[in-house]
Amino acid sequence: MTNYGLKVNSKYDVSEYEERVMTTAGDVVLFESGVYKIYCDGDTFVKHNITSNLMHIICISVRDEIKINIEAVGIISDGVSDVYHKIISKNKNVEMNIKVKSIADNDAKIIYRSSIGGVENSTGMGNQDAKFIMLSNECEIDAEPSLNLASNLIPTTHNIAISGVSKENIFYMSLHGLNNKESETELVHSFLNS
Amino acid sequence: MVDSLDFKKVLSVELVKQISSEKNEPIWMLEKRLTALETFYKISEENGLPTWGPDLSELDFENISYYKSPLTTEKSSWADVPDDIKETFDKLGIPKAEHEYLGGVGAQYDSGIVYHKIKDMLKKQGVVFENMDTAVHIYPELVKKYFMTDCVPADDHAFTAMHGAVWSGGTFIYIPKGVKVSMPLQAYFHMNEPSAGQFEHTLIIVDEEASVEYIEGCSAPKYNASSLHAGCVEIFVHKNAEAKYISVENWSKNTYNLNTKKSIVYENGNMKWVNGNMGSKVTMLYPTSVLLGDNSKSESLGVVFAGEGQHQDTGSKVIHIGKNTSSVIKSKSVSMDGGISNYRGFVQVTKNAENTKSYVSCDALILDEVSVSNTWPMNKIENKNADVTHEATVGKIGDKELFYLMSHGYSKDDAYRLVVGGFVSPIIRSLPLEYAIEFNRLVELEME
Repeated sequence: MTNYGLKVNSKYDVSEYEERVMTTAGDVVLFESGVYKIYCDGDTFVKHNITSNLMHIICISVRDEIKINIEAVGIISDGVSDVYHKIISKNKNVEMNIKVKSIADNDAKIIYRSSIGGVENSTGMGNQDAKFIMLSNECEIDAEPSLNLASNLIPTTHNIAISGVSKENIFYMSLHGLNNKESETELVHSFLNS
Repeated sequence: MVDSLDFKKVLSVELVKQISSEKNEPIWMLEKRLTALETFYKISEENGLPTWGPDLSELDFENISYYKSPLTTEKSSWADVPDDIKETFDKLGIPKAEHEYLGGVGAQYDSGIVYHKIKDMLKKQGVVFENMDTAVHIYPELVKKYFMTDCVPADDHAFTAMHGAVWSGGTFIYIPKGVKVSMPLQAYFHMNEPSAGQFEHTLIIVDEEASVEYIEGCSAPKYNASSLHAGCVEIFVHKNAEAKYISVENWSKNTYNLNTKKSIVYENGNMKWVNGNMGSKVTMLYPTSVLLGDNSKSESLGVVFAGEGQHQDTGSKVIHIGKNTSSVIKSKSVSMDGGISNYRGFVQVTKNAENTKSYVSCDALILDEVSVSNTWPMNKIENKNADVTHEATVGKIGDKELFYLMSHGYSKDDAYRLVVGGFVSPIIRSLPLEYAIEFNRLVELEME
């Protein structure tokens, strides 16, 4: 992983996790933290919660004309969350999507890395969208979304947004009778569920 | 090859002392060079050269000429510059540009400045525009304070340490308080020797309430052996000041361009970087702004072309430290004929940097099936009141766009050129008109 000469701090040593390899298609819901290598033999939808733990997921296409989606949602109140999502297209017409929403509170730290890539002669499209909200000044977010394309036939976009809870939105809700804490809670729930 | 190299033989204490002696430098500058050299030995022994970026293993350090005097002293009239050197700069249009619209020009040939002149009206305002070698003698207090101290220390990385030991030539600019320089100042760097190394140092100090626009251009003829450019640019933008730094780098395709550019921006200061990278075999370039003062701002605009045999690894870094700071980074890259273009960026919002706003946008065009584009933006956010967004797109020229243009009479090649020109135009517009025209011409040449 590129680290720009900086070490992305993680208390988790990846080598301690045995890589779990599967070839599958359909819904894949991951509960246990760890390192997963998934060969996608059809439309594959991977979901997991973001927790104070390590979750590295690498999806590789083995068939043409498929969709590969990774979705992750979660609130971290303490500890370190180390999340890595990677989708590689080695085939034709592979649609790749990564969507992440996460909230950090207290002294939590989120390390988020992602990669959408395509080998030479592969085709398809890619989109990666990650949004993070920080609720305290003690938390920290390190985010590195990346695109690695050796093919010009995979139009790809990625977006990342990191911010606190909007003061304007809190003010708007306070006009409707909620205090700051209640407003923040409502906005956080709305963010995660949207 | 690189790992087994004994850098103490390649870059020796004797060479550094020779450089310092030829320039008749004061003892403090020699000591600074020798400290940088020790740092270079230490870094290269402990860490080797960076392996996280493009491949540097073919850079022939043993045969690089780390110092090559141009065998002429600095002149202030083009008529006095030796004919062969003058002819080089004539072809580049430098004397003409100076006459028509520049406030001052410096021209460097290999390791030395051969021409330097500033318009009288700027001199009268107290503007200092000097050869860096000369500034060491005339402005020692300023140079001691700012040269490779807070902005780019020699121990930043291996190539800044190398630079600190063997730097030669470059530009020193000081803009006094309240002075707004109305005409751009320019320096042009030309590497002429095969296996040349050029290590010019640019130091720009913009004092409070002042402003300056500075342009750097560069070139080198193509040889089979590799050349090395490890220059350094340090810019200090003081309170309420503004600086615009424009660079059009068109090194020959055997050059390793490992440049370091950084600025420190104080309260209410405004720093603008505009970089165009066309040439070189390998470029590693990440202009950096440290937004130290409250309400300081930075904008970084970059255009990159990566053609056959080229690996362009560029980007931008911003470190938000003060309150209410903002930054914008926009990058456009084009890869073709097997070229590799990487965007590598870093945005950091430190703990006390309240109300930071940062926006990064990088777009890449891959024109054929053999070229590559990678995007690696890093964001390190430690304050909840920051608003940081990043977006990127990678793709090829759409068939519909080409069809539309061809149906209006354009050939396929012209249609490609037009679309690419439009793709990079938002950045090109930031260049002075004369340079925008020149850059568009270079783009067209690359597309042919």
